[in-house]
Amino acid sequence: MKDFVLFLPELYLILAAIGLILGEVGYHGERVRMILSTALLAVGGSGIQLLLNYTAGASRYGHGNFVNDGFGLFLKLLLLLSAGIGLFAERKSQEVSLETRTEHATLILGTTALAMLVVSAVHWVWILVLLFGVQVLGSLSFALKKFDRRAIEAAFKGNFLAIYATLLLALASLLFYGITGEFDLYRIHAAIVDKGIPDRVFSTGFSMIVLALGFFGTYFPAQLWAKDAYEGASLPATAFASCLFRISSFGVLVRTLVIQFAKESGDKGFWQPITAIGWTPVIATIAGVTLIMSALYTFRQTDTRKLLAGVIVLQSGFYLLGVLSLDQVGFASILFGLATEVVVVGGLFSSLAFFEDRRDEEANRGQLSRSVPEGVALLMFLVAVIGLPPLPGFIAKFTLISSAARHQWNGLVSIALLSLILMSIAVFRWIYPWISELRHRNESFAISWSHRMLVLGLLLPLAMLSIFAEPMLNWVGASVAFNLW
Amino acid sequence: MKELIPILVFTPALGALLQTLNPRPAISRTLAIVASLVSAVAAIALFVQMDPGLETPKYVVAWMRSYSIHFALGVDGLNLLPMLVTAFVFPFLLISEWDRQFGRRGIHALLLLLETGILGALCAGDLFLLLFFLMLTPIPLYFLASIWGDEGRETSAFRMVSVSLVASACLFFGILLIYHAVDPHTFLIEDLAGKLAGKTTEIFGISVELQHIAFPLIVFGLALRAPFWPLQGWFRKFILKVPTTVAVGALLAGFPVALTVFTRIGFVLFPETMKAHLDVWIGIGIANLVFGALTLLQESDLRGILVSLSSVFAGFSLLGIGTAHPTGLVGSQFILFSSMVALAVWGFASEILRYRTRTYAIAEIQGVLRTLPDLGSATLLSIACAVGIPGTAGFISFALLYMGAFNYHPGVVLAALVVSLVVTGFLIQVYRRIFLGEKVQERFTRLGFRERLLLIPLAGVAICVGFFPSPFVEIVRATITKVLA
Repeated sequence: MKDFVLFLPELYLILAAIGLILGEVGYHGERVRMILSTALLAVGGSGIQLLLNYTAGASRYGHGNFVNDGFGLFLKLLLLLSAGIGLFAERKSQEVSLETRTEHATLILGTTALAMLVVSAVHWVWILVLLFGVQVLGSLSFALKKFDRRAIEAAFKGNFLAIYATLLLALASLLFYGITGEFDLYRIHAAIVDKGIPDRVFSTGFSMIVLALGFFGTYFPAQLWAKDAYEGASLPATAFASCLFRISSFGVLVRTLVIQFAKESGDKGFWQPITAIGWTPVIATIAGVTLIMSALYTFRQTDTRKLLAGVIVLQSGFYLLGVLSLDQVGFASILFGLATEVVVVGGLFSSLAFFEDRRDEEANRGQLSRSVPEGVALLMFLVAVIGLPPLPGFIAKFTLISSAARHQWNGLVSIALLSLILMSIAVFRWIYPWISELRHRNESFAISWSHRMLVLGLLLPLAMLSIFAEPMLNWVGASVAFNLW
Repeated sequence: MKELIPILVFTPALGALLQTLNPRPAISRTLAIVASLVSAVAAIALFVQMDPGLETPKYVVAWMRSYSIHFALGVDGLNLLPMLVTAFVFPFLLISEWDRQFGRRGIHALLLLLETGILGALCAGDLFLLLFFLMLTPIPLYFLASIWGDEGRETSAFRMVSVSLVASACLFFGILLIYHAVDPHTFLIEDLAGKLAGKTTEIFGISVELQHIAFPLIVFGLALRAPFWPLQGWFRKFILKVPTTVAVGALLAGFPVALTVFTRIGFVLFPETMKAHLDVWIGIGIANLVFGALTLLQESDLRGILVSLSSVFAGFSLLGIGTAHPTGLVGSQFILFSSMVALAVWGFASEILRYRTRTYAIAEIQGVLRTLPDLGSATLLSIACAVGIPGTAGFISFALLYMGAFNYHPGVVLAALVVSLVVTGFLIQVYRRIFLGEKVQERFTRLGFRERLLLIPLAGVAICVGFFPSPFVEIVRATITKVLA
């Protein structure tokens, strides 16, 4: 019974998704009106159930294949928040046609449910099956744009890479299974500690896992697909999927690294690699290359979608700095960064969707004057995403970079700061046409109040994250501490 | 008394926020000016209540305990004068924008945000908070220049923000190194004092003393922000493309903030390094004096004079810091005050002239004293204050500076005097051409109430401080003596 209750949050979402499909199939009247309310009800109910589950304490459930802990709870709440924003955003998007909104909402609910299971899974079979599902369903939402060849291409790329990455993960897990006879992360850890593992097998398995998760988490060397996919997909789908992929991927990465590949060092809340092979330089290299490659890519972009895709991918490099630290403070900084990203990316794409999807510099001239509140909100989200004060992106970037500095990865810190500069310069260059020549442009457009409420409503959590950064950091710290590492 | 400090710093930000509420123009601009005036009143109240014999006011609240980040703001002799001049000048900057037709609320909000950034950076007692405010200031400046600047503003705004980002990254890195060098980690300047000597850090595996990496990074960042010769090219282009109001705001955010922070970090955190490199500071100071004077001689634009004079004043102030002598340091602080009063009056006078002549070119404006005698008087007073004529704040500044510098080396005083004479000669020439030239401009309208309001109080301050410098000197001297000890 307890297991059933712990699965309820995901179950709510799946039931709602099924309900939406049945409604679409069996009823052709006012179905559009009920889509959002049904989906939001499920998301809200799931959130409440999650908080109730938290009181059950840190435990394993589902035959020990899943864990209920603070780390998972926090990531699940972020996934639900991302789903809520995605549902609102697609409703007003000009890129998603009315006919496909049920499919869009269903995909959001289904993908979120799978991602919620992924971030609490500790069994390789479940992890790879669920991650595959997340990537496939998430990528399918790319294709739901009004007919666009690039959207289809984006969905295809996402799906193709899901197969590739899942195969890699399957091979890696089989490799460890062959040596230890286990798929469970905790048991693999115990077996490695007891019996040891050949260095070559360990290195190969580790590399494959990190590479495979790189496809989902969009970091080097597997990040290139994301830029093309995010460029082709609709804005709401990009915002939702980019957050979702990253949350699920970094959830799995942190859990795997800590449980399977690390052991507690002397102090509580600190870990070190389990074997003599130090794998932290590998992660450091990946972080550094992701940062600098994405920064250089972003730096030369003037196209809106390409620039934003670059900025989003760049965030993964910062999260890897938190992973690298292998301590609770570093993991807490990842959670804070992800929380900020969900709000910021959601707001950024929602406010951008408000304007016509004009992509080049010339077309963007004076855009801000067309609807000043949304324009100002867009600029604020941009400043937040690049990590400048006074918005919480600054605190998130600071905590992540500080994680690397704490371990004296000062070379990496300098690369992170250089990336920050390049990204900021690119974004400021992109902003210029929006704010220049305002006085020469008077065409405005009809205001959608619900959309405006969403965009401005997302500024509120943004401000809250800045003002109440301390309680938020305490909360993420407590979430990381309350776990079953 | 300490509660006045957050009022001083954050009332302008609140005023900026109120601009978004979209009230009637008359109300919004009044709100903006009131917000800035409240801040000015708080600054004056703080000064009045300060006593050289008592503890200086500090407002310290834990902000993010997990990172030992404090919301620490304080006012003492090291920041009193720049803080007072900033709080006093900004209401006049807002008043000068009273009649702006296009985007008045925007320019008011951004100027208020800039004021919060400058005051916050001046008063910050926590390195994180300092970084927060220092990184905040270029953002409003970028938007102010991009939206309200002259033709060719794109490049200048873009250069400004790029340079500021590089400077911020250097400061970020330096501050992170300091934070992680001490155990327990802290950003509080007061707590860090005396703890950094002999500390090391690793850069690419090489052990480096903190004073050889963190301090140079911070100094370079501040030198870019100030900006000092030879890093000042961007600043000139920026000032020449923005409205004079923005130019004065940018000047306030430049060398007064950079030199105040430099003095505090240098003498409190790295006293040995600071004192070991006095020749370097003096050398840079003299270079700025010479460069500023030479470019001043080439100036043909009223705004250009602002840039060259700021370079000269930054040089004078750095000479005072370089003496490491209490009198010289007090003189350095006074230079920041008197120079900004003089530059603000010059800026307002330039704008008043441009409003009537449609040009900033010195060659095209002649003989305006007959029709605008009050403008002539105020400009003459600003020149007197700038070159240190007795009876103005400038005289006290230069007297103290030369007394301190003489203790260091008489040659420094000689160099400073030569530059001072060149500047005086040039400014008198410019004054003679503009106000006493042959061509009498009868068509000019007389100064209005608001225009007089911009000039008279600031000119009054220059005289008042010139005649009654004692309360200021005592407070500044008390802190400096303590810091040097």
